[in-house]
Amino acid sequence: MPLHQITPEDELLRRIILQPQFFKITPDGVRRPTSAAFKMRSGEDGLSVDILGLTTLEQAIANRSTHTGAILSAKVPLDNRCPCVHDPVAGNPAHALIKNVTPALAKLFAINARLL
Amino acid sequence: MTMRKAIPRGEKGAVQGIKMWLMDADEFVRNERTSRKNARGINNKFALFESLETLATKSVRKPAMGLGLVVPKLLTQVNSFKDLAYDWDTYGALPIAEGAIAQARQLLNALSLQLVYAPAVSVHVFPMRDGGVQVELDRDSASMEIEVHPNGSQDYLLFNPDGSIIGTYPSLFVALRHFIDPPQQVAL
Repeated sequence: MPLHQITPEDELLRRIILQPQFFKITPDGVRRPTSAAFKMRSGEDGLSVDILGLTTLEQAIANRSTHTGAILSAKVPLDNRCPCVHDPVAGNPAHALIKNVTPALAKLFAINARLL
Repeated sequence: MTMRKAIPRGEKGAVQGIKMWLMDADEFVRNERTSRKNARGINNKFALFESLETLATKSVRKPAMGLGLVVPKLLTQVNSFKDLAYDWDTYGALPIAEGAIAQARQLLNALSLQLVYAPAVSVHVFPMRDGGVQVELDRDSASMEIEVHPNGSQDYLLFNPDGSIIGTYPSLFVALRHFIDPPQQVAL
């Protein structure tokens, strides 16, 4: 499978655990993921996401009773100098990595992400 | 806003008051514990409370909405993080460290005192992928994130409502001051 060049038009999906809640509900009723969902831990090469155009929600989120998804436009990391790289792995050809994610950028991603 | 109000009168008291402003509130409380039953210490604890009240009451004073009311629920949530096994987020997240949970509990109790009069602050707790705990405080004018790492160390980050960062802080006390009263222009 040829590598996909991620553009600002692509949508990236990050799985979000439902229990304990990995999101909060704002006063205006909007569910918003926590930035903790977008923070890398030491040793990681990038933040794992799926390219939505290369998969389906059913494939990306195997168990909807335990997880949901946060969808982030690739424009957000790309505009903030975070390269997005298609990185297919065994069992997940849509896997990609967002590089150079700092805690400050994780907050920006969380605010701009849309929960399913 | 006046800071003078926080500094007790009298030379010795004033020195204590200045020290209090220079150190983290938690550190201050720890030091005070070692010299508890000291009348001057009690005065300064009151001064700390009074100063935070001054910071917090720049808008409507609503003690009935204080953080103390939700702390038990938050503590229960933090305790539940002990049940998270390896890979709880499907991306290889680590189990939450006991030390981070204990530190987060202390932090929540401290915040419940320090934000007792803070208006309309919503607080959430989340597990972190590296085994820590994240405490998030939100107001209309700013958001604050406290990262409690597995080794117990803490980072304080302050954000504008649009998610842009205001700054990172080495001290909870300073971060809280800017959370209650966000700086217009920050040069960190």
